[in-house]
Amino acid sequence: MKSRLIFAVDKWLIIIFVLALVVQYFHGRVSANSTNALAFTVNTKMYQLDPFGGSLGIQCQVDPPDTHFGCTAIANDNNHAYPYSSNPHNVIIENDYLLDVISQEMSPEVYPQPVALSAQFIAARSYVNYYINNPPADFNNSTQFQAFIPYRFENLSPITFPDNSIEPCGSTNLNGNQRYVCNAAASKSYIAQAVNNPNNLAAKALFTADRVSQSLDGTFDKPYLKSVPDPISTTCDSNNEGPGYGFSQEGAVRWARGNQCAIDNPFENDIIDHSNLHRQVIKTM
Amino acid sequence: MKRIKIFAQIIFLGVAFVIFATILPRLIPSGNSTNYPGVPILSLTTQANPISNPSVTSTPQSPYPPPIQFTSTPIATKITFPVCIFSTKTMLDEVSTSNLDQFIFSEPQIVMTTESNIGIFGWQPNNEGLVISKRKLKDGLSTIELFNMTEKTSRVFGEGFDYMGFNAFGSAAWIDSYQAIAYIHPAGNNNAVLRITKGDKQDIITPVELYGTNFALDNDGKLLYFPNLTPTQLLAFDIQQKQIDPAYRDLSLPSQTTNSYDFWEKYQVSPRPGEHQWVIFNNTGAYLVDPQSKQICEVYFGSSGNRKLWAFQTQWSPDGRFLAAFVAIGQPIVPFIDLMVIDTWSGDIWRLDIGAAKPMLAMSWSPNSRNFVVIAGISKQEENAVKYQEIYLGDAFTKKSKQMLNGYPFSQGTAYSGISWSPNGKIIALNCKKSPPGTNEAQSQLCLINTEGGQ
Repeated sequence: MKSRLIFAVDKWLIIIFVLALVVQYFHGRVSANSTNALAFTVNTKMYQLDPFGGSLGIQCQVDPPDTHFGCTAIANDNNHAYPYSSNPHNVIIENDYLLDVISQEMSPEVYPQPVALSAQFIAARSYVNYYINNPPADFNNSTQFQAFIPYRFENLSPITFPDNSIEPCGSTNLNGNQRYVCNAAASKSYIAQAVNNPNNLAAKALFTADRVSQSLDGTFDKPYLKSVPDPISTTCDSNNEGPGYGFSQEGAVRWARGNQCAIDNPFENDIIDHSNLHRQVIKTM
Repeated sequence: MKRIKIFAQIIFLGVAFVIFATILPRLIPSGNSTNYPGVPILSLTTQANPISNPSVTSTPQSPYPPPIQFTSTPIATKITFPVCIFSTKTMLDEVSTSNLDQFIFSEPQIVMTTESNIGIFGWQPNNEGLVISKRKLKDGLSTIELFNMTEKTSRVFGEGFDYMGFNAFGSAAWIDSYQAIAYIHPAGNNNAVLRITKGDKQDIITPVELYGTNFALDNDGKLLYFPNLTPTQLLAFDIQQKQIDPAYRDLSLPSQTTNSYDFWEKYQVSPRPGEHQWVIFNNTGAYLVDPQSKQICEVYFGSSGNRKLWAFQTQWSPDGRFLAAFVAIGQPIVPFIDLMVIDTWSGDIWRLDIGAAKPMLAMSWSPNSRNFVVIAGISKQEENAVKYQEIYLGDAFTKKSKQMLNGYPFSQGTAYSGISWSPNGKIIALNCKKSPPGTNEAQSQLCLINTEGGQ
């Protein structure tokens, strides 16, 4: 009886051992190919950018480090010039790339709504991982993809350099805006296509600045982006800005605020009524 | 034998434990969000949702402290001074017919090719020379050169910062009264001085460092700029006297951020031709200043999304009637860049409409003070758009515009070399490099477009 028990235990141990080896084998394959997980780095070509986020067609210089806008958010400062040792460069996604992307694409200086920022972070994380799995010819830091400008996170007002440079969100000296971004970063969630996608690869989760009333359907390569009503985005500062499909940044802010204005009107207390001035004729004859 | 079997079982269990201790924490979400991506927490999610409902995966709690309550302040907010009311100078005849179709633009003629970027700053009044810069590949600086239109050659005058785009406007110019080029020159420790050179190494260097990268030539020939130590005080440098005119200080401008590296936070000045008035602007607003009376009013371009439009760059028409401004909200990267034009004779203010939401990136007035050329960039509406830029011709009298050289593949980045219409109205200088489709790479080509008609 005792020996049969030992045999039974041995049999289970062998089965578990073999299963463990199998899991380990496939786990290793998956990790190595990054096909079943979020990537750790993204290979990005870095360009000088115009104020609209477009590439100037001039790659950031490594030596001496480039001080132009786009290569750094703190332009014209030799002490905070282009920070990487190569171009293109493999940029760490979570602790570097996405912190700068979110700080730029949906700055908490303008949109300090944690829920909206978290949604933006999920979309941005998904977007970059989509392009890692579907690499374009020239993935870069311009708004052709996502705006990525080194030191943009540090440049969130008031300018603060985290005391933990390896894991900035673990720093003890972050300012309020940086803490907003870090809290949005913390979920590590992303959006995956759920059909014919056994490895849960990230979806091309596009986002748009704003859309009045209803978002658009995604075009042919992103059929999962479905038009949805956005009844809070119908007045105040609602406008059509950006491609119109996917996550609406200012729409999310309005829902987070519970307000039809994404930001407060800074002119509401002014003596002069400026509401009719913009893009209209002022006749003083 | 039994001991050996037990020993083997212990070894077996130990190996199994080590393996599971290695794997299990990576398979089971720990709730600790500091796990790096690449760890397959998310790879174990199920595939139950239909394609129309993308799944959002697990959301562990944040390990970081909640954000402190922080009230953000949009960059451009308040009206500081009374809004300028532009009164009618003369009774104007209504012009309803555009002159745009009278213009003929030639195919761009390449007169210079470089491996790095060319910047275009402006012409000599006699149309003979064009002030340009060429980026040096090694040290991040640029050579400041005068391109001779007759000989099609270029002569180096000095070495300055490699500024581009909006940042570059006003950072080099021909000073005809002194037959020299003024440009921004590095002064060490990230600071800059104005250097005035005839190319003979007998340079004049301003005694006070600049705050920012821009200067302007006033109607009386003095060079206007804001000093590094007192950036709300405008200085006027007299080249002939080689000294600073103290009369122009203390204009009671709103204070600006000091020690900023962001050019949009720093005041720029744009003198009004024919009048002793300046427009001084940054991302807090634009102000029309009378330096004699020191009266100030705010040039209000309007607002968008509850945020005040602010100007990147302003350019007066040569007769001082129209003020054109590239305006935006927020800080770069901005959501849009529009070209607004104020007619100071009629009081009209209008936005150039080219029929699509594209950023306006560079412009230059025709010497006729009616027409202008503007380079439009790529719209954010166009995901992965072909990265070309477009040239439009505008008519300030009728507020209409027309695309010129339609189909010519001006590269992304063309606008940031600048564009400049010659004083005689016959030539437009710009960068016309054609990038291979699908690439962002751009060398530089100095190109000249011959223009006819519309004068």
